[in-house]
Amino acid sequence: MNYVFLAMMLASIFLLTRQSPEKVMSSMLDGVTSSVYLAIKLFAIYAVWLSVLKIFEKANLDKSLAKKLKKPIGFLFKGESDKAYEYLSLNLSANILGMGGAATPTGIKSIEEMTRHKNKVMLIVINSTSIQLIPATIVALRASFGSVTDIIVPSLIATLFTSIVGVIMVKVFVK
Amino acid sequence: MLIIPVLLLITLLIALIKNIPVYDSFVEGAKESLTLVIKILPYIAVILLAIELMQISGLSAMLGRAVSPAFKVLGIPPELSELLILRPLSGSGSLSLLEKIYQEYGVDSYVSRCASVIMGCSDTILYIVAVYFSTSKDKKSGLAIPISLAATFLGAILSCALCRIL
Repeated sequence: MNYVFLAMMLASIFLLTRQSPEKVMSSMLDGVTSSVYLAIKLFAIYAVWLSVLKIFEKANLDKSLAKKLKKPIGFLFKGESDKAYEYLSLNLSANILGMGGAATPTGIKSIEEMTRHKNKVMLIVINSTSIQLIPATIVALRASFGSVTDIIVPSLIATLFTSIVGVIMVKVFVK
Repeated sequence: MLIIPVLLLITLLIALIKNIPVYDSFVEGAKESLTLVIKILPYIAVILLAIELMQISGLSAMLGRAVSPAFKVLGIPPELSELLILRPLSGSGSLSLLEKIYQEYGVDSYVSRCASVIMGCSDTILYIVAVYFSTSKDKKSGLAIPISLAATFLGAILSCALCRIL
């Protein structure tokens, strides 16, 4: 992370200094300002989903979901606590149903409960390769442009492929 | 689009049956959301700072141009190289770029279809890594970024091939 960030900063500031140095400071400030707007949006999304999650927990739904998903989750993530498996099963379900807003808070809680590095990397890779049945945002955007062709089938194949490749790479390369 | 409202209704009905205090649960949820957002705010602030710089300086467009010949060999249209660079970095940035691609090439064109599938099978990796690890005790993300990037890239090659057949 530190190297990626350093390289991005160095290259962009160098470029911008040569073109229009007055924009260096202002674009950095713009970036931070937009993070505050994003944070407000995230507060709203997480507030709703964490509340739903609370009700799930009080109704023990998370435990029964974890039981149902025990096999696939046990295969992907080895040797974690029951609490971690509960959050993981919620995170995976949210991802598959395309509810990104619910995926993030459950993902964060999973990582807090996890002890093994390999499992943490696995969680990041699965979330990054966006395993979902229907890419709702993209489909909605395409509909607003009046599209007549379908992208759901190729998207489903592609997302299955990226997730499987990701899982294999984590299994092979991460200790 | 019905899935979320239906899920919320089911949750509320379950709460009703099992006698779970709904108001209290929502207050707890909002409280937890606030602490969570405050915890992750520094991380998203720093990431968006860098991404804004990258886009304003033209670095992302430049990187896109630099890699487009290599992408072309792999079957990825050169029009999509900036999207591929921006996608792992910024969700809103890549979404607005996708809109631009739709406007420029028409939503049902080959390029736009590839762009849609690429967007559908990937996510904002940098944001996920930063936010997910923000509360973890060990902050070392290790191979998470390289593996996610590699899988996304292979997925993009497959997406472009799929759009040609399907």
